[in-house]
Amino acid sequence: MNSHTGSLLRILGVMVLLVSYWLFLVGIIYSAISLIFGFELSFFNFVICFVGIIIFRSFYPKNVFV
Amino acid sequence: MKLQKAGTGLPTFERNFLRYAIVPFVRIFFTWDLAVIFLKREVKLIENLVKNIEKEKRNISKIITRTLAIEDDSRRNSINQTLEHLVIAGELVKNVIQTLSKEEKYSELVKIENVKAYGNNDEQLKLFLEFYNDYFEFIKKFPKKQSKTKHKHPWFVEFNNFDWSVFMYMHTFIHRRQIEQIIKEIDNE
Repeated sequence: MNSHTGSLLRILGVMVLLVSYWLFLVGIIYSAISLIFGFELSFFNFVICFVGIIIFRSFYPKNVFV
Repeated sequence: MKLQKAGTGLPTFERNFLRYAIVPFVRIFFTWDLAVIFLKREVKLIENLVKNIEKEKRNISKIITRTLAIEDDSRRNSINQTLEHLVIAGELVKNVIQTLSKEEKYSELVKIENVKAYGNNDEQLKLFLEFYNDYFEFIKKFPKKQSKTKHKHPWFVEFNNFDWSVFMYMHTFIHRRQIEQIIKEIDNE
């Protein structure tokens, strides 16, 4: 394996790690809110929440929030 | 072997991949703290790589196979020169972050050819570690508010203070890979 391929694989690994981090975080928050308010846990709703967070992070006014 | 001159930049495909795929991804999925965690890991990896190399070998300048996101001129760097470049570029990035955070424009253009290293200091690993310890102290106390003001990297789009802090990690990563390649090619001699 050459160095370029190794670097690309490592970058991919970091990307997977970061996406997993956000999936885990959203999962925890979604589960907590569902349990507190008695909503039914749904994988589809979880995916919607995750996609919503990604869209929010893509466009929110970054100099207003941290 | 004649290398392209300093500041020539990356091949078009590589530059566009970093600019249009990696930069947007990084802006969405990184946070200030994640950038510091990943950067600390890179510094540790570099320390572990370099500390076991004899001091004379750290000054060997050998033209290596180009690694990802390294421009042609940097292929000649020794381990110590790579570490020195990380310190020079890191100081500049730290100053840019501080300036942008005050919503002030950074007056100097960032030029690749101005952050090259040409020395071969035997204590470079110590200087490298001292710089990064200072940087971690700086970023720990730093109010984590993203700036409106931006400053252009010569190869990419305009970065605000947050983007530059994540760039510190990405930059250290690509040079860690360069150091690994230098060590591999020295060992193959």
